[in-house]
Amino acid sequence: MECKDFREQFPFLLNDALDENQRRELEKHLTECTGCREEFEATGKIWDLMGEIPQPEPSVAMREGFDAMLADFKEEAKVTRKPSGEWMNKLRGYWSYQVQPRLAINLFLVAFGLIAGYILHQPGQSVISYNKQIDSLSSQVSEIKQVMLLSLLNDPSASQRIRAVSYSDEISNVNQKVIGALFTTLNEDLNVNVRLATLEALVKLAGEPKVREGLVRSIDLQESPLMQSAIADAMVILQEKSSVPYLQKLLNKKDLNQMVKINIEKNIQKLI
Amino acid sequence: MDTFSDNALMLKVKNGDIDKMGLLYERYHRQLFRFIFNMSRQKELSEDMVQNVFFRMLKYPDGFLGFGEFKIWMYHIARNVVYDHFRNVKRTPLHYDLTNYEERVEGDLSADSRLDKEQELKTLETAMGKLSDENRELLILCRFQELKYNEIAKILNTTEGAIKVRVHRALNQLKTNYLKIEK
Repeated sequence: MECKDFREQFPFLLNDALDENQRRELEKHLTECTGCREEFEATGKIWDLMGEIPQPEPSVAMREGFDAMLADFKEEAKVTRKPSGEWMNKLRGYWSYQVQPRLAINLFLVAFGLIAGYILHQPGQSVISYNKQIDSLSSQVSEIKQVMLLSLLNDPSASQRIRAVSYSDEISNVNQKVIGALFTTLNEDLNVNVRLATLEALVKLAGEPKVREGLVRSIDLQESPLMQSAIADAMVILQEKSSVPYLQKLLNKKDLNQMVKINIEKNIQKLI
Repeated sequence: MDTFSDNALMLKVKNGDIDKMGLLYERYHRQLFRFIFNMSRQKELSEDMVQNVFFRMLKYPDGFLGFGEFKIWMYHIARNVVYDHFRNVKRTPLHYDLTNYEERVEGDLSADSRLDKEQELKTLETAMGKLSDENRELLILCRFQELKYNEIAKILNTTEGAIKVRVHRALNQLKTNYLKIEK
């Protein structure tokens, strides 16, 4: 070990964070090397002095403020939790307005399936033709989901848009129109949670070169630190080396969040 | 799992037993206040920010996933609160209370050495103020918070090795600042 290595251990020695062997080795070096010893004494002096900086105690008002806040939260919890028991709440929650359209669609699909099953159930038909019919049915379901996805993406409520994005999982053949809509959402949606969900959905579709390319180009367009970090992580997951110049460009941006910067630097390392 | 471990308590808070946050407050408010106060050097503001940290934990308990340490999560939130504040407010130089040093320097020192100590502390506090936020934060975490280096690494999302080098550099920077002012 060189002097430089020993000096890096000073804060650890001062904080009593070295193991027995390291400590003994460092102490031995300090008796032998005058330069390091002087350096250590100077560092130790500053370290001790830091410990003497007076530290005020928080006031009583802080405690009172906290107690009041806790009481508020308890009150709120009581209001939302009706005395009639949790299962009633769950039931009520299930019948919230958000679930109703979904329930209607499900009922419709069930009815549709029953009717289709009844019509199709004719003895004597070959298995192959059954399969064909099932295929055509499932492609119809897929189409319905696709239409829902495209229309829900324009819903004013963010949670509806997240739901729309999640439909992309359930569609068997995602076409260009859907991908285009997802990218518009990724780059332009006002809500960061929707953008995050979209990013996740698109990463799953990254088998298509077009999607990968679009993701790389999207790096430039993201302003939110959360998104910048998430998209950089996604690049590592996809092992997309072509994203490195874009990430580097992002690093040069002014007012880039410090944590994001560290994360991106780490990710670039992983990619190279 | 120990029923009174930080994590167990926080999970209870998450499941609606809000009172348990009182115990966590008892455990951490002083440490948190110390961290934030040394970052901002404003007492009242620091108390508000501590309050804000607990508010965020109560308001968004789902952010605590339960497999990391509660303490680390709490520091992540505290850092967000502090840095949000730094971003939103026009920064003024840190304020160090340079009056009443006689009262603040303790022990039965002679008048002369008391004066010396007073001068040294003034110099050190000014030197701390000249550090970058990141360096100051690092030194505060390892000098005033009784945290282990691997905990600091988790709080700052980096490795213990990186922390080692950065603490060393930050401490050197502080020493350089100190000597420059002393001259």
